Formats: sequence, structure tokens, C-alpha cells
Amino acid sequence: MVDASTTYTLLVMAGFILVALLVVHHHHCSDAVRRRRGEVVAAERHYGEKITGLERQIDDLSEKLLVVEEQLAAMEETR
Amino acid sequence: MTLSLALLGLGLVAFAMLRRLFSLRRDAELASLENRLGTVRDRFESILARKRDLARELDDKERELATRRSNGEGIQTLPMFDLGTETIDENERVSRYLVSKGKITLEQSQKAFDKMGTLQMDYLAVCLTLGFIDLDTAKAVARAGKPAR
Repeated sequence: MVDASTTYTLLVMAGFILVALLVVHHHHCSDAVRRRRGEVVAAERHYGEKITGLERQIDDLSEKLLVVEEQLAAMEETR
Repeated sequence: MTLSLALLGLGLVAFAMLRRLFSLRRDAELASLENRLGTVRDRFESILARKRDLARELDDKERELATRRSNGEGIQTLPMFDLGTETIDENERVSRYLVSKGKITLEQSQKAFDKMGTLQMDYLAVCLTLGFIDLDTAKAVARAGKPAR
């Protein structure tokens, strides 16, 4: 049978180990979130640039479509 | 001994609860980030689909326009001399023709006359330069302006 001081020493050691495990787990969680946040921000920037380009192309296409529709309408009128 | 076992149990319970709390917070933040990414990706997909639709529509209309042109539809080239305008000058005649066909408005016509002196061009060229008519219309009008042989 272990005496009281040994028991408390073991308890304190177990406490330290549990706290250390908690710190490591917390660190892992924060790291995972930070890494994913970086990936999401990069993806948002990437998609944002693509969206800007697409919107410009859509404007160009809309203008061209308008011109073609006007020409078709003019043809209809002159029929 | 009982007290030390109780302390150990308490410590283990606290450890498990804190660990679970950290995991839950991590999962919630990751889910929120996935939502953000999903929103941007959906927006991108919808804009891409819109662009594809527009491109397809434009393609169809351009094909229709090309078909009509190749079938000889479009601006009629005959009636300029039917307007009773033999006594007025060429520019005025072209102007009346374009306005009567709805190719330009009266304001645009007046503006083209105003710019003729500055640009040192004839009426049709001024209209073309100012973008009131396109090249095809200008050619058609020029053809229509020639007397029938």
C-alpha cells in the first residue's frame, strides 16, 4: 500500500499530464481551424477574381446581344 | 485514499468535458468556414451558368442574323428615289432616308449635319464615325443612293 504523500504526488503528476494533453488538443484544434481558414480565404480570393472576370465577360456578352437584337429588330421592321 | 480517488475522478471528468468543448468549438468553426466557401462556390457556379446561357443565346441570335443576311433580308435598297427627293442634295436625301427607316433619330441627324463641317466628311461618313449606323447600314444606304440601272 502506498502512503499518502506518494498518492498525492501521483495525483499531481496525473493532473499535469491531463493539463498537458488538454493544451496539446487545444493547439491541434486551433491549428486545424487556422489552416482551414487560410485555405478558405485563398479560395475566396481565387473565386473572387474569377467572378470579376466572368462578370466583365457577361457585360460584354450582354452588350453584343443587345446589338444583335437591335439588328434583328431592324430587319423585322424593314421586312 | 477515497479522497484521492475522488480527486482523480473529478480531474478525469473535467478533462473529458474540456476536451469535448474544444472539439465542438473546432467543429463549429470548420462548419462555418465550409459554409463561407460553399456560398462563394455557389455564386461562382451561378455566374458561370449565366455566362454560358448568354453565350449560347448570343450564338443563336448571331446565327439567325447571319441566316437572314444570307437570305437577302434586311435593309431594302430601293425606295430612296421614291421619296420625291430629287431636288434636294445628296446629304439631305440620305438623312431623310435614314430617318424614314428609323436607323437614326432626328436629333442624331441634326448632330451629324452639325459635325459635317468639323469633320470634313460627307453625311454618311459622319453618321458612321459617330456610331449612329453600322458599316453594313452605310453600305446598304450607299447602294440605295445610286440610281437604278
